[in-house]
Amino acid sequence: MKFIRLLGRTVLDVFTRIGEFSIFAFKGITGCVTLPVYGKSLLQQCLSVGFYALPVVGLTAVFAGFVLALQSYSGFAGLSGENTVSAVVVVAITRELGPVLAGLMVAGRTSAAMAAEIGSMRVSEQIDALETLGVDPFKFLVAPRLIAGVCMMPLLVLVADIIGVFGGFFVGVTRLSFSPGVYIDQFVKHTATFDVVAGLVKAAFFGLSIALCGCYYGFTSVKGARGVGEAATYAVVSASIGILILNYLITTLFFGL
Amino acid sequence: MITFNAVTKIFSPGTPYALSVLQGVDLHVEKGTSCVILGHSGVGKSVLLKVLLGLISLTSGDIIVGGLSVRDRTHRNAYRHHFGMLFQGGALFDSMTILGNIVFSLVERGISRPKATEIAHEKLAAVKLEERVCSLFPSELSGGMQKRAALARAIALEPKILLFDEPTTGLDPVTGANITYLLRDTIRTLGATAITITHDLAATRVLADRVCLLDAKKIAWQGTRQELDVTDNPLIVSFLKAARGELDS
Ligand SMILES: Nc1ncnc2c1ncn2[C@@H]1O[C@H](COP(=O)(O)OP(=O)(O)OP(=O)(O)O)[C@@H](O)[C@H]1O
Ligand SMILES: [Mg+2]
Repeated sequence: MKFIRLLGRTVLDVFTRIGEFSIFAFKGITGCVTLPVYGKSLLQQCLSVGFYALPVVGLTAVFAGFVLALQSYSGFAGLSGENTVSAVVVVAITRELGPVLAGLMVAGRTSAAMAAEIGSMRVSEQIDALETLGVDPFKFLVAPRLIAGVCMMPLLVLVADIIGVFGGFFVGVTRLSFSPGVYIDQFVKHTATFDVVAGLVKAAFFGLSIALCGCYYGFTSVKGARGVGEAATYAVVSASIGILILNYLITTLFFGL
Repeated sequence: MITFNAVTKIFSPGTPYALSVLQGVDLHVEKGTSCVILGHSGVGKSVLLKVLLGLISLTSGDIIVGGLSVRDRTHRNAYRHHFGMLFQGGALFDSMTILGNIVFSLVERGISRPKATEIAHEKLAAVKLEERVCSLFPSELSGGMQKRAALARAIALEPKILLFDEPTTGLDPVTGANITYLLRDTIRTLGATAITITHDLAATRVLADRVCLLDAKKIAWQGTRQELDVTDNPLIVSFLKAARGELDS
């Protein structure tokens, strides 16, 4: 009996959360498409989501490129040459690894930062102060972050793609002694615009997931340093899960599997 | 000016975590008067002000301010324009400088930036903050200075109603007294209606035309400042006694 009650309550809680989150997302997205636009805050968010994440994302991508080249070489028992390695690297990076790795890195970095920042504003009554002044926090706080997430993630992923492929090239040429010319030829042959675009579309959705989770958990943060810390943790975890699920869905959609 | 009609607030009603904070609060504050609300920690004083501002939705009852209801969402902004609020922790926007905080709130109400800057400097001077503070961020200020800056922001728009949530809590007695007199002068110069929440009896005697005691989810007692000392209401008597340091164990 106790068990059933607990189960029922948990299910109800989960649905309440989902409902709350949907309303939040709706308000946030509405905030993006209505006036006023807070330009300064938008610029700040674009810098923090995009520009400041470049080192982390670049580093992740270059190492992903390194290992991918090594593994695809050794995976084929040393039988593969420039052709396969370059093809595997390009396809894997542009379709999957570029967007997903960049997404997860930015989720860890930016969702947490957003949740902590908005959470501490919630806890210190700054959001109440905004509302009292007649400023809509969805327009002032949420919309700039959503727009920055959706616009900057594809750019980051584009950079990650380029750096990752270069990582593969670097390992191929220096460690596996491939000929640079052939590698590049193969690489150009296997780069499909469709793959790159699919990756960028993924990135835009990942950006939305990252920003929404960061803002939502910040907004609903409870009092105290612990509340804000928890908000940051939940934001990262749920943004990452969101990215993995979205990735699966968009992959099925684009590659028709 | 402000009328609470049977205001009830229950957090998460209908769930096992339901918490009833206000239950049938009736309160009327006349235009141009200053009302002080006393009450124990956690009794719901801050909730009362947040309900008044429409930051927390009512469970039942209604609040009417200047002819507008807090429940009326279409006039939400017009309703909120009545108020200037000094939050318990100051609630200065910590991504902006002190000057930026005040200018932002003015610009949001459609005042041009140069004019807003001028008003901001004027208000910062009025709360006796030096010029050098303008370019500092809230985290670089002491508690007392933050309270002053927050007050400057609250009064910048010259609202008709001023709300102060524990303006002197956490300050030393001298700074607290200075802030209290600053609040009194501000209320007078603006000719505003004011509601102040405080535990500070010295501040109550300076600020209050009327005093209300919030207890057990209701306004348990109300009267004028003079009646405060002559009433035999046990709650007030124990409040005064505790404030004089004559604690019952
Ligand atoms: N957003 C909220 N959700 C749930 N409960 C809340 C919320 N805000 C306040 N409460 C509860 O309402 C009660 C009253 O809180 P409130 O902050 O109004 O106290 P207070 O009288 O201002 O106390 P203090 O003098 O310490 O500031 C507390 O029990 C608090 O836990
Ligand atoms: Mg309080």
